[in-house]
Formats: sequence, C-alpha cells, structure tokens
Amino acid sequence: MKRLALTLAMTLLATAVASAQIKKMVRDDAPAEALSAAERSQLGDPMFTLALRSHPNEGDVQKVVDLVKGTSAQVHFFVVDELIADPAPAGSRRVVLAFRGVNQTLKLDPNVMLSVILTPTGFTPNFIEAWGWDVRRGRFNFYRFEQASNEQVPGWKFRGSSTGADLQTTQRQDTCLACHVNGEPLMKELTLPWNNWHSTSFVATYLRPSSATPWPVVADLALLTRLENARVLQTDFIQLAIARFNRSRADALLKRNAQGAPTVVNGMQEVIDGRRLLRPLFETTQYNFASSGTLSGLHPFPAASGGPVGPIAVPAAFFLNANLLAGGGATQYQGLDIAEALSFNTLARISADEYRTLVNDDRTTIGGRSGDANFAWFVPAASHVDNHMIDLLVQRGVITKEFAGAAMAVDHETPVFSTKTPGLLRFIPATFRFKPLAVGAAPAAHPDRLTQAVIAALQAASPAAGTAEADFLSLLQSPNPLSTLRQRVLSYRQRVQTRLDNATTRAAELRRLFHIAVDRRRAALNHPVLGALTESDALFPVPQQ
Amino acid sequence: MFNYTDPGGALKPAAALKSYRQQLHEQYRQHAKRAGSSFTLLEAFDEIAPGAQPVIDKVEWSAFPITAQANNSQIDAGRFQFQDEYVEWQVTAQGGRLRTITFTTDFLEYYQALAMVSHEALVAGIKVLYPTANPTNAQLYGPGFNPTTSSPEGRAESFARFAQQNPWNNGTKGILCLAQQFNTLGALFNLVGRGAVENLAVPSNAICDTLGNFCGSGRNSDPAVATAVQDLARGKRGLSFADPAGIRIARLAGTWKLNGNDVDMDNSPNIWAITRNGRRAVLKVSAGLSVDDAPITSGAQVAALLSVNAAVISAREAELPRWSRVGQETSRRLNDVAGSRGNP
Repeated sequence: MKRLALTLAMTLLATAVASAQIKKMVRDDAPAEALSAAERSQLGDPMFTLALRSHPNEGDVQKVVDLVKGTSAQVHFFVVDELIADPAPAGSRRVVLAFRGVNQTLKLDPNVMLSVILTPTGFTPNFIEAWGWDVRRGRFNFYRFEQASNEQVPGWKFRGSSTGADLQTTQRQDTCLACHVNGEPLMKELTLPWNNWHSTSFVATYLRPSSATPWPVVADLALLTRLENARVLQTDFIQLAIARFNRSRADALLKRNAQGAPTVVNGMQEVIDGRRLLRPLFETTQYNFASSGTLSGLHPFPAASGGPVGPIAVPAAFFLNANLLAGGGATQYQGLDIAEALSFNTLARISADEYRTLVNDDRTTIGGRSGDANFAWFVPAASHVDNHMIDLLVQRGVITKEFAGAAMAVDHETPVFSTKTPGLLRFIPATFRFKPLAVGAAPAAHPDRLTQAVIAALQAASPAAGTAEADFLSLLQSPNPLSTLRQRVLSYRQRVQTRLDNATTRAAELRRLFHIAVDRRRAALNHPVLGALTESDALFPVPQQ
Repeated sequence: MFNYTDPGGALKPAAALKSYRQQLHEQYRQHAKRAGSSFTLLEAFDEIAPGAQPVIDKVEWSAFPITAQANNSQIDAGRFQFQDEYVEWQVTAQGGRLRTITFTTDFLEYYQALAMVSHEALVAGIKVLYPTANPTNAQLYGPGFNPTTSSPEGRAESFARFAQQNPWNNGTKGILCLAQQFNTLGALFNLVGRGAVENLAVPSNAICDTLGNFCGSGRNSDPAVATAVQDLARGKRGLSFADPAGIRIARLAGTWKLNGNDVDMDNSPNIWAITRNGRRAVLKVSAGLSVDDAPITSGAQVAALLSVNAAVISAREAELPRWSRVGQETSRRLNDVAGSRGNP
C-alpha cells in the first residue's frame, strides 16, 4: 500500500513538473508557444540546467540567483545606464549579474549572466533577461522572464540562440539578436573608462552604503553588496565569453569529417565559408566605445560643471584600430606589431577651453539636453568581437598578418563603419585551404594561398585606379604589406600632428576631428542593424537636426 | 603607535619591525595632519563609538600599465619605465622559453627597514625569498659602499638609491620590491591623504585631475584610489589604510589550462602562488600552460589579467573620536609620534 502511494505521488509530481515547462517566444509581443521535446533537448547551458528546467516560472531575482549559484559560487553585480551620473533617486538602471565558481559540476564563469532593471526602491518585477553558454553545442541561449499576451502569469521563455546570428538580415527586430548582432554577449562600453558603467573611473556612489545619500534600495537589497566595477565584467567575464564564442564560430566554419574532426589534407584545413569567416576584417559587425579617460564636465545629468577639469586626450582608437594594429594592451591581441599606432594616444591633447568650444559650437545634445557624454570624446570604435576574431584567424594561420594588414591599410583612418572595405569581401573565395599554425611555429610566407587567390580575383576584376579594390590588390602584391601599412600610419600621424602643432591650422583640425567623431556617432545611430543598440537618446551626443 | 602588521612576515629581528612601523607611522601621521583631509590614524578605529562598525572597501585595479605606449615585451623589459601601477614583475626564461613570472607589490621601505637594522638583517630578508643568495655589498648599495661602517640611515638610503641597479631586485638575479619611480609608499599615501580632502568644485570622479603630480590621471590605479577616498570624504567618513597598509595581489582572471585541462588558479599553488600576505605572486610557466587558449609569452600578458587592490577602512566621522576628525588636524594626539592613546 505504501509503495502504491509513493508511486502515485511521484507520478503526480512528474506530471506537475512536466506541465510547468519553459516556453518560447520568437519575438516581443508574440504569443508564448510550447517548446517541443526536441527543442528542449537542445538546451544544455547552465541557466537552463540549473534554474529554468526545474523552475520555469521563478521570477524572483534572488531565487533565480540562488538556483544558478548554488551554495559555493559567487554572484557579481554590475550597473550601467546612460544616466548613471545622475544620483537622483529616479528612473532605473540596468543590472548585469555574473557568476563565478561551480554549481553541480557546471562552471559558471563566464557561462551565465542575468540582466534586470533596478529602480531606487528595488528590481522591476516580471522582467529578467538571461543568457547561458552551451559548451557542447557552442552557442549562447537567450532567455527572458516575461508575460506573453496569451498568458495569465509570467514565465521564462526561450528567446533564441546565437546559432547563425551573424547571418540574420531582416528578422532581428524584437528579438535578442537585434542587439546581440553576432550572438555575442554585449558590453558596448567595454574598456576604460567604461562610460555609463559603475566603475573605477566613475563610481555610482548612490549605490553604496557609504554614500551620504544612497538610493533607498541600498538598505534593502542584499545583492547590492556584490556591486563590482565594470573592469571586472570586462576582463573576467565578457572578454572571456567573446573569446570562447569566436573560437567556437571559427571552428564551426572548418570542413569536418564524419567523426566531426577538422579534415586535414596534406597538412591543410579548409574553410567552408570564407566570406562569413573573414567578414570582421572588412565590415563593422559590432562596435564598442572609446573615449578620453577625462570627464567632459559637460554632461547634463545631473548638471554640467562647465567643462573638463584638465586637458583631454583623444583616444588612439578614434584615429585608427590601434589595439589590433599594435597588439598587447588591455585586450592582449597578438596584433600586427605596428606599435606606432599606440602613439596616437598622445597625438591630440586638447585643452579644456578648446574642448568646451568644440562641444558648444556644435550644440550637441544628449538625452534632450545640451551637452556631452560623461567622458569626453565618446565615439564608436572597432569592436572587440571583430578584433578578436581577426587576431584569432591570424594566430591560427587562417590568414597571414600581411593579409590582415593589407585589408586594414585600405582604410586605416576609418577604424569603424568604413564604406571602402566591405566591397572587398566579394573577392574572398567561398572556400579556401590553409596550413594550421601551431603555437610558436613560423607562419605561412606571404603571399599564402588565400592571398594568391584574392590577388587573382582582384586582377580578374581589373579594378580602376584609385579604387579600394586597386589599392587592396597593390597592397597584397607588395612584398611587405605590413611595411606599407606602417608607413601609412606614420604618414597619417605626421599629417595630423603638423596641423595640430600649427597655431593657424589647429582650430580647424580640431573641428575636423570632432566632426568625424560626431559623424561616427550618427553612423552608429543610423546603421540599419547596429542602430538597434541605441536604446536611449542619452547615449550619443549629437547636434540637433 | 599602532601595532602595524608585518605584511611579509620577514621583518626580523624585532628592531626591523620597529623601524618599519616607525616609517609607516610617519606616513599615516603626516597625512592625518593634512588640513581638511578625512584621512586619519588607524588608532581612531580602535576608539570607534560603541555599536558602530568600520567598513573596509577594497579599491581594485588592473596591474597592466595602461599608459604604456609599448608592446608586451617592451613592457616586460622596461620595468622601471612602464610598470607604474604599484605592481612590478620579473620574467625568467630558459632555453628561449618563459619559466617564471614573479609579481611584487612590496614597497622599498620594507627592505629599508631591514637595512636600518644591519646589513646582515637585509641579507637575511633577501634569503627568505632567495635562500641561496649571497649578495655583495656593491650589489645591494652600489660600488664602494661599506655597510658596516655606515649609519643605519646611510644603508637604507643607499639601498633605496641603488634599487634599480641591484641585481637582486632589478630582475637579473631576482626581484624584491617596487622600484619604479612612481611606485612608492609615499606616493600611495599622498594619493589617499590628498584625495581625501573634500573638494566639491569638481565631480568626485575628476578629483585626480586636481591633485597635480600626486595623481596620474591616465593610470588604472591613481584615479580609482583618489575617487574612492574622495567619495568617502564627501560621505563624511573618516578613513585610513586598513592594516596591513599596501597593495594586495587579488585575483588572476582568464581560463587557465594545463595540457588542455582546466586549472583553478585559486587552488593551484604549484602553478600560481600568492605569498607574503598578497605582496608577492609567482606564476610557474610550464610548457602546457595556457590562458584563454594562448601560450604564456610575457609578464605583461599575465598582468592584463591580474587585479590588485588597496584596502581602505572608514567609518562615519561622527562615530570616530573627536581628535581624528576633519578640523582637528592640529590635535596633540596627531602631533605625538608615539600617539599615546586617549590623548585628545
């Protein structure tokens, strides 16, 4: 009798669990749909495994955090908002929760993150976003806790994965892939000074108990004791997650045998979609921000203080793709050994008066008020996800440094949103073979097979003189494209330096440079895909139209 | 005087610890006396109001010298030019392959305290790190210097002056302590003592720019520390360096693997060992060690993944003794080097 009762109880429990399962939504405002068993079987990330599989309706942030971290792991609390500088207890802030440690043998860092909305009094209810990395399938899965139009109560929804995200064209709107353009984790202000984040460069004091006037939530929310600066999110989580994602993407575009191992013929591997793999070298697929490390003093939230306290340095990443050209640095690319690129960090040092004049003359507004971003000279720059992929391809021997250098030399003065280089992608063969580069081994000599194939394709097109195609062809045919690139970098620096050093041309040159910065902000705002990353008019300072 | 902890545990004989404490106390006292500064002596936190609790904030930054316009190998080789984040390192290689990377955040004053006692005490302190070391007088103090006939102060000054040429410190034979021109105990105290003077004319995050040569605004460390203490000052909190004062090596980020297997660097002392209360760390680079699938090729590469911190203790000024508060910088308590307790 007892055994029968136990069996009955277990059956009822199993039925209850089976009836409460995570659903899916294909886009915002779409109805919730049941996930098929086959679809559910494809969810192998820690977010699903530790939390959502067993608690598909759990919307309490602390409880979800506890499910993910278990008893021994740690949670870290990061905060970002375009109005982060405003201490007034109003509005909201985006919170990112990352985890470090192991739960039930699953490594949590950097494999799962949550995102919630913090108000002065607590979390916004019924809204949690999450992603988890499925190491076996090599993909991010995206989830959201929300209530669909055809539901009585909110619950967790599977909102898609990173698989094929980079191939999406018109179907991104109202999906996670609208912002996670390649399917990657997103931290737009990735590097120092992490404009808009609570960081060592800008402390959101009102979120700390030691503040004179903390937000009320500080006294009540235990999770806020885990507040961390944005550098930790950058170095300990986002960069690692992107690096692993890129390795997985690169692996997926290699020809494989029936056992799933890369096919090797005469020591060569084969890329099965060359244009897709090399796209980051020619197109901006994502952007991150660069800025001076100096506060503009013109940020209108809560109020401008009259301008920078001291001179501001225009970041090298504004002038060119300095981090990838030079290598090393905080992002630790192998790079192309053009160390001179870093010298652009000290090329344009602008006095507080000069900077104030530039901003005031252009009458930029941000968030509906006159002014500038929190940190001066805030511009879209080459993204880590693109740069890391290019660097990875060089490290693996898929492309040579010379090939990468030739592509970058075509429009080296436009490190983001180039209109010259995307057209070169069509000369990349659909498939090509390369010799994998072992650690410490000598790379293939220039011109390698890919370079020769691209040269042939360009020659066949007979590009007109003065075009990007003709320049790319010339660079690839050069015995040392990196030397040419270095010369162009030095010449560029000299040209700007000369204008800045001359009192009669300095003001005009500063205006020219500032207008390039503004144009890049507009390019990001108006970009057909990346425009979706602008969630607020308080992100970009641009002149009123 | 506060019983400052010996951070490295090697200040022997007792006179070395006493000397170190006196040097340290002089820094504390100098900045506790700074007009308008919320910085105060550690003794104040022993006298906190009943029921009140001090808070310890760890101000953290990256060990990678962000201002260096140089590649990894140049940063490794140019320690005294580039490594300016209160962290310096020595790389050893053998057979063209990197073998160890040793990071230090120990201040020069630590070894000066040993030199103040005797040449033998200094050598003994070096032997704690390098047991087979047999440093010559010339190596430690420069040519022609006789430590036996010199005064204690003469030994300490010569040791400090020669720290960048000393092969036991400059990487040739070893690394003992910070020796880059900006990485000094005095610089760190100046940063905190001056940064803790409330200045409402600028946002707290811009306070570094107002401190002139005492704060390097382009660095990772200085603005972070200055902003943190300025915020505490604005919150009407008295503050000080938590004991033991200095820079602690906190954490190594990255996905580390040995021969393809994940390595938990927090629990692998045979690969990554943090010693001396966080003032020293050694990475043993074996052939199969990688981070984020890349081989270890430089100290700068590892520094980019390394976080260090300085611990600042604070409490509401109203909960601290009156002698320690802003406006009381001329109190007899602060002017008394020995700092006899309870003297208002």
